Amino acid sequence: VREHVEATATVDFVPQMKEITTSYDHGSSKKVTMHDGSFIQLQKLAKDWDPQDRQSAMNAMHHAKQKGEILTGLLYLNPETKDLHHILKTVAEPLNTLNEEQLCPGNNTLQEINAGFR
Amino acid sequence: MTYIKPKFRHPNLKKNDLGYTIDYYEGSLSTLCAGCGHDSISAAIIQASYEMNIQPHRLAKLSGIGCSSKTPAYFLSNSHGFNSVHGRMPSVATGANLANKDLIYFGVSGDGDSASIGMGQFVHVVRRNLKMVYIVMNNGCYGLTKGQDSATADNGSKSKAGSVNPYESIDLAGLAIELGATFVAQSFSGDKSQLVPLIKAAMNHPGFAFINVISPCVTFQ
Repeated sequence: VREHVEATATVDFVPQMKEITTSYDHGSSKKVTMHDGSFIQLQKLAKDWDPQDRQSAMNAMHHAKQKGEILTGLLYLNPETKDLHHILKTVAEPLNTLNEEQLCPGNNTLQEINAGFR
Repeated sequence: MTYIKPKFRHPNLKKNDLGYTIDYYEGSLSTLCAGCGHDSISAAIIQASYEMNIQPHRLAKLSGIGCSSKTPAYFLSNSHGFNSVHGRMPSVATGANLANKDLIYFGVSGDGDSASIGMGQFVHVVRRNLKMVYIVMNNGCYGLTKGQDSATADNGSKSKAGSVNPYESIDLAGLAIELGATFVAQSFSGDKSQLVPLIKAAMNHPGFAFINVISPCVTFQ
């Protein structure tokens, strides 16, 4: 049996590390060192950043990537959005609160709906 | 070894408008590596929920598979929870949201869960504009399976095993904007002064709110 035993994993030791925290101002850049010594470059959006400009958000992200930076903050926001329920035109009440009669109005109603498409 | 999370808290902990102290929003003890960025994000979620006066039973937390997707066990233990199949959290969230739109839906995913096996689910939940918060705890590697590069790892970056990533990385935040997401943010796990307000804003957003959080992996980075 031992001839067929193969080590598929090694037991390793995970050293206890500390949480990496950082704090930096709007519009500034911060180099953050990871546990292994590598680093990432964070760039926080400026305070006067307009998050409602979609094109600017995409441009800024491309620009940051080219510079090897990670852009942080609220990149894009459209507060006037309509969610899936609005798109699907569901009823105002949650569907799980509707009773069987409301969810399944019966054969006669179905026939009427079908007739409406003819 | 068994760890027990102490229940003792300072008796004068401040209460929010609902009369809850912050420990009411905590979860069980984390089993992630000490120093993991994901634990920092969990702490930010706890802080945001406490400050937003969220009634825990009005929130549903959902996840897929991965280190990130374990974290819902470590926050909001009084909320609804669903740990789904790998990369399939958006489908479960969609079904739950369609059945009961009165809950706050909080999805937690990882870079493997969203940018690889669950990419198809991710792009469609974005374009459908499901009202939910979708956080990706992005560490650029597969922590649960010994640290292989994920699809968000930088091109040219070196894994702990020494291999250099030859592939282009996927930018989830850029992709979300491209697909029509109406709330897209990016942050770092250890910057609570930025992350907590972003989570609070995301919970207030009337559509799909995406936050890509860069999170250091203690063991494989």
